Amino acid sequence: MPAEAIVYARLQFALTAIAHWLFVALTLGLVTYVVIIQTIWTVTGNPRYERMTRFFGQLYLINYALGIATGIVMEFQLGLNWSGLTKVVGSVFGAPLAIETLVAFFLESTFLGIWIFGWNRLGKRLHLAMIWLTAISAWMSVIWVLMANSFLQHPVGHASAANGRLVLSDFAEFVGNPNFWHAVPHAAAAAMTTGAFFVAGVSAWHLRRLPAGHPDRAAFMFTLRLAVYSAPVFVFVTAFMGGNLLDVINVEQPIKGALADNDLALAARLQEEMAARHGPGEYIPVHEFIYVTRTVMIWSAITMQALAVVTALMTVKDALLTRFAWMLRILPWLIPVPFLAGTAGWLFREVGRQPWVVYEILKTEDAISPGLTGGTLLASLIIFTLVVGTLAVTDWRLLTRFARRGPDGAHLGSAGQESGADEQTPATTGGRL
Amino acid sequence: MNWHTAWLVLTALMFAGYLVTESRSIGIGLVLPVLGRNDDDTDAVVGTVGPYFLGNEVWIVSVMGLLIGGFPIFEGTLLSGLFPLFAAFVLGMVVRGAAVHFRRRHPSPRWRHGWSAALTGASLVLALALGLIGAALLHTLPLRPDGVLPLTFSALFTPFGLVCGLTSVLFFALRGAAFAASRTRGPLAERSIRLASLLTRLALASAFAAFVVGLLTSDVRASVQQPVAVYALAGAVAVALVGCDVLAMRHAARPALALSAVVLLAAAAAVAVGRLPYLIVSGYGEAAGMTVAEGSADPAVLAPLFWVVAVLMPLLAALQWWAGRLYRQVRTGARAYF
Repeated sequence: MPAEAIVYARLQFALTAIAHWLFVALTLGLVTYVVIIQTIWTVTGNPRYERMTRFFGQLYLINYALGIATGIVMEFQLGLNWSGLTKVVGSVFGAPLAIETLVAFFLESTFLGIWIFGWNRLGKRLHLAMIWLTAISAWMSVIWVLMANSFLQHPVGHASAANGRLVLSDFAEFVGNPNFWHAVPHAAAAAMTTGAFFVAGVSAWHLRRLPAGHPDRAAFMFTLRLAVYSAPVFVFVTAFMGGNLLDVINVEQPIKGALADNDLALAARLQEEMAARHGPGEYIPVHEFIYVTRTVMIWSAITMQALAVVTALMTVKDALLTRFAWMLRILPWLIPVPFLAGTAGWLFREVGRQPWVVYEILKTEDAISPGLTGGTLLASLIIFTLVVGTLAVTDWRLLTRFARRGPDGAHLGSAGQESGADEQTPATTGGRL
Repeated sequence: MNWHTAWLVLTALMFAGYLVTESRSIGIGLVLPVLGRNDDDTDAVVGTVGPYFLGNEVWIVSVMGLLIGGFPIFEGTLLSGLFPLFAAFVLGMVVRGAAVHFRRRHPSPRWRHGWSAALTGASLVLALALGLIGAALLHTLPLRPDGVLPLTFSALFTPFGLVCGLTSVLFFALRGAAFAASRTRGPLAERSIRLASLLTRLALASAFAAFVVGLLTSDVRASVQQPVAVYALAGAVAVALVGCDVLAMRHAARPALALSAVVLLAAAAAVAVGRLPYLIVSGYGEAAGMTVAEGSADPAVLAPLFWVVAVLMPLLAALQWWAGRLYRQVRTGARAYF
């Protein structure tokens, strides 16, 4: 396999995984806020919260379109480009992926369909149950996918079979992987941070423009508070669990840990130890890359936490926010920060374990599909990047458009058409799917 | 029965579920330009499958999940060996998903027509890719004795493959036309059922051509391990198609829809059963072929996973059945979300 073929396949995986996380992080964060808002709507019956459910639910749905698309690319890519991986560890890490597709993804999509098309048709409580179940199954995905990923990071609970393949030998050890238990809360809190800053930024954008006394002001004031009061908690948990995960990494993947500290002398010593165990070779991933992505994570967390705490204090009283109105100007600009931090996080995690795809068991260069040529992989890289890239940009443009149009522009739970008359129709007439 | 066989049955059931449900989405995409003569009709036709769309498309994700979990060796070998077909399939899924989600999110006619065309184009890619994948599996493939299936374009785009691709498109289109006929009223339903009738005849001719080309192709004859089963299932396809036409001419849309599913299932069963006990039949001889046992995961993981999946699958199917009953009351047309 020529060296450039591996570069193409790795680049394609990196681009797909990053794109997937950009959509998935927002899906997870946003659906949780939609659950909270719709629960309040169901309990109070206040139409203000119905408008907010439809508004943020619409944004969640537009974002979901590319989350599922990039997820499908991820799933097929394993077999297309990395059949060496499924061949060697398929009997171990295929299991959580199989369960994920059934108990998490299948349920998530089915419940989501019922939620969209059951609007005004299901009873209020049953309809609410559907978005709860959608959210729960979405979060289940995080657990199963990270379980599979953590096995690649730190393979435990397996034994080697005669044919050089791995088999599952200790299920409890496989599930009890410390890497997994530290990665889940870190990634989950990061997704919630992404959702919180999105809800805060969009709410602030509308609050700055809506005239005093407009009925939506109170609704957006509510969602702003919901987001900025919870954001400091999520940023803190992300950072705290990230620190704990780094302690785990220092034990499990000491080279990554050394590079994160920019300790090149330690990394060089570990490189020698690794070469003694696995034969000569380069066992240090691009070190600047690891240090930079770690630094991006830390500074994003500090920036987000500082601003989240300040904003939370300023929104305690309406009068304070009027006085410090510049805060509303800043918040929409913070929406990309959690995406940046999340991208850095995945690059740190995945690039940092190179040259291994299964740590100290299988090298990335040996995991690539053996029957492919560099030309095929390059063509695939170009075509997928163009198609998925174009769709992602289109999706973000739609997301911006619907975010700006406000609650009146939501199609979800309302008329599918855009003409003004349809959108003004109250949502209580039924049969409007 | 050993765990490999049990897993094969589970995966086959999942794939059957995929074909029955998702063929409605793919079919609607295919017949859209014929049935959607104006914007209202286009929206009504897409709207018939709209509520089902999310639930339909997840089946293939679960089929792939079961393959990765239960048949990782087969999955990796097949996907990389048939790279362009599976890559085209994934691109089709991605573009079609975006088309369905985006199509009604903007009022401009250019936007809507563009995404409707993308929906049809992507559905065409999906149906063609599935037909070509089925044909490739009915062919001997250059699977080497060392277990590597190098990507060989000439093995994927054969005359037999192209006839099977065309047949697949017609089978899926028939599903779409029958589904549209069963979910619409008035002139649109009338046009849909007439289209379904026309499609059964075209499909019958195309399927017959595929059968003949298959008989004349030595690589296909060599790959078929269970000729009796294949002939019986090919016969079932023909009978179901004729029955479908009779029902369509009698305007019995719902029974025709059910029988159109039998067409697809019998064709898929011919591909699956015809090769047993092999998953991939090698052109390098019997020893190089990949049997069910060789393609599957270790029994230590298959056994516990089997019970998880066996319990879940009926529950998931029941949930979708309940959702389908709910959707039947959903009025489609100008106000549909999709």
